[in-house]
Amino acid sequence: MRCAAVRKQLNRYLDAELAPGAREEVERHLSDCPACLAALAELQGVGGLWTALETPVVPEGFADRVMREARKRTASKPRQAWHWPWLRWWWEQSLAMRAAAASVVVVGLAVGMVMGGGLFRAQPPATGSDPIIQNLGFVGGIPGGSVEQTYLAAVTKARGE
Amino acid sequence: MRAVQQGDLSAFEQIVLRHQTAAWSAACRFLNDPAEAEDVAQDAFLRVLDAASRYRPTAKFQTYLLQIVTRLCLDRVRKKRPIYTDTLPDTPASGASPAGRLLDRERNQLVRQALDKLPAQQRLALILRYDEELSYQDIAAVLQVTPKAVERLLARGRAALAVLLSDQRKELFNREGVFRRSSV
Repeated sequence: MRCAAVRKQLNRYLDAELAPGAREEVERHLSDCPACLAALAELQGVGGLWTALETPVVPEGFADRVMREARKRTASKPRQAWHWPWLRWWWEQSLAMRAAAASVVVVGLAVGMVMGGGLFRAQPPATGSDPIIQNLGFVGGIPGGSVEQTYLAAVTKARGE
Repeated sequence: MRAVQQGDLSAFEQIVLRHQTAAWSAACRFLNDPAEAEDVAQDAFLRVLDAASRYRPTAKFQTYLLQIVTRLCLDRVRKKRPIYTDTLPDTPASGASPAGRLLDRERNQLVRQALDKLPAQQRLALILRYDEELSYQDIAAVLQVTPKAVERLLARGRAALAVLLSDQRKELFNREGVFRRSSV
């Protein structure tokens, strides 16, 4: 492996981000190349200076101050009232979940309509001389004529005229 | 976070206690000002609380929190150039002599000054790598760049620090050598 190619990978090597095979190749080169080894030492030196820095310590009472502010905000925010639990569930879902749920409902409705479509077809008006069928047909179908004629026909039949 | 979404503040307090060090130290290292760092860290946690109902666990929570912290830090830098202050306390090595502590303090001051000169993204990448020990993938998620871009940021940041510190390190090394010889 050439020095230029190894130098390009030194940062990844230092950060343990190289795949095992690539790591071995770099190590083989480093064992034989003082110049690249010195370049790696330079990078390691920067890391060493960093780790020698003091670790910032969280100030005393930080969490308490955050919680005090959090309680203030929670108390002042009006709690959203969910009238229906399913609405809250809907609101908390991701867009993908909402789309999936809506698709299931739409497909279910469509299948239902196709399968039960016959139930919604209007009954044809009754024909024939049977008074029961005629009466039922009058109720089930759309009778011809005006409303007054239909009413008169129904009343006449009831009186036996 | 599920509990926080239900309005459970004690769950939110657990989150604050668990992640306060990461949030505060990243902000402090970047801004070099403990007071500003506290503002940023507190603001970050409160934003997590405000956005709890919209939170989706698509990545590690720490990555999400550090994204907010870094955005807030960058906003502060854009508004004003941070003034270097030597306000970070030095933690002396145990048993170090006064002269040794002085050398440590000087070295730390030089490193902080050099860090302050780096571009913001390079500084952030180094902080997330060295302080938070995040992988390239996680750093990329925090900074919203690609892992390849993270590699470039770290490489340039390290190279810049090495150059900035090279003369000072030689000087410090010489003084350290004198100190060691005189303490024998």
